[in-house]
Amino acid sequence: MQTPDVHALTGAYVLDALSVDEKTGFEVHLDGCHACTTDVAELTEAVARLGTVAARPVPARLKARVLAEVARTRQLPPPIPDVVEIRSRRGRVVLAAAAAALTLVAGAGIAVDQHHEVVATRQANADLMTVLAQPDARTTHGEVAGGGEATVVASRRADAVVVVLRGLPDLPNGRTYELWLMNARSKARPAGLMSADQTRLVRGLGDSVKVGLTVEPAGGAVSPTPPIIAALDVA
Amino acid sequence: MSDPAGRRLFAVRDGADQHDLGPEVMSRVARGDMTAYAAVYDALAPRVFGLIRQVLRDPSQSEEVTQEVMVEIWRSATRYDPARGSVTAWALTIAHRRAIDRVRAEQAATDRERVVARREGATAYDDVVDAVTTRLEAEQVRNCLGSLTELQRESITMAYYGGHSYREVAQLLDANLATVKARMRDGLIRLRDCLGAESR
Repeated sequence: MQTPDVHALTGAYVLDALSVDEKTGFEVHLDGCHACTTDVAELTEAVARLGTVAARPVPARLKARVLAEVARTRQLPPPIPDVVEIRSRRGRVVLAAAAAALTLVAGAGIAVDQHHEVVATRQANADLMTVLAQPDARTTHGEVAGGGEATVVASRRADAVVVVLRGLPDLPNGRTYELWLMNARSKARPAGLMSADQTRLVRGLGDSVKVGLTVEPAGGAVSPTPPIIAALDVA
Repeated sequence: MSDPAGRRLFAVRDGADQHDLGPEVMSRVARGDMTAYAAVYDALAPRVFGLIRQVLRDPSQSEEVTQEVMVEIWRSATRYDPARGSVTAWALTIAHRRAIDRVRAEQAATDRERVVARREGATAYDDVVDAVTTRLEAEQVRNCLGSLTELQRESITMAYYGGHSYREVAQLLDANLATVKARMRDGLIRLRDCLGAESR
């Protein structure tokens, strides 16, 4: 449902005052509308306070029935959250690298991107977190020529950079994306191959000042084939 | 409740309030702790049942839906996120949604106009607040609802307690759709700000 005034439905939605179809349509809209999601979150508590005034004594028989049903009801497992706080020495840091939201589940040991796909194993996850949690970790974000976005989070202390690619076009067979670490004299060394939606840890920054991205033949190249479709500063 | 001491006593006597249900109780429930759940039941069931009863009117249907909601609170305890609000707010959101689902289903199955007419009489907020024991919390809500414009208040209470959709509210109040939607939203913003101020 994409009527022009769909945003105006947030109040009615929070009050559960939409029809079944409107509610379904609005929830689809909500998924992509940050302003509406914020609106809804801010008004939910006030609406719940409206609910508290109607409290009344519960028939005693209900408790026994509920406890019996609960005893035979399996609980849902914990969800994988959208954004996780990563503890750094500065205290908690919420990491959401702009559109390329890198999310990590501390404890569960699974790295997921904003579309909830598993992109790394437990060990790789721990390695990524080590970089992200560094006090000198700096994030740079940019568009990729030809489509998509790239985010890099670099830490000199960890001597590593996390690269996140999001929404790049899939390449035909026989071609691959390749990362480069480039120094101030534009000398580039290979830093690994990547696919269109991926997160990767690159170690050994050395004298690099930028991360670059090109399209290469499958198997990669030893030096970049122009054009450089993304170049992000490594602070 | 004009004397402050009586009001405090009343606030204490009124079952468990939100302070009983800190997030660590819910984490215990989320780990399958039945004793913790029984405490959550005692604290939440009166509010859940009361709200459902207010919306559905029918006592046995209300018990049925209350049972559903209380079991759902157990089942989805791991989904409760303290960052998003209080346990009570979370529980009442589930409760209200389930009650409204029933209302909408009933409307689909029966004569729409008859259902709308039956609900019309039961939505005045004065009736709602007077029907229960006066509590500090209820007083705050009553005061803050009172600070809204008539259209804001009626739009909100007819929807929330009366179970009407915004289109039905517009029809019943003889107002236009855009106006009702906007009053619901700005009324809730005002209510939120007022409740925030009242609890300081």
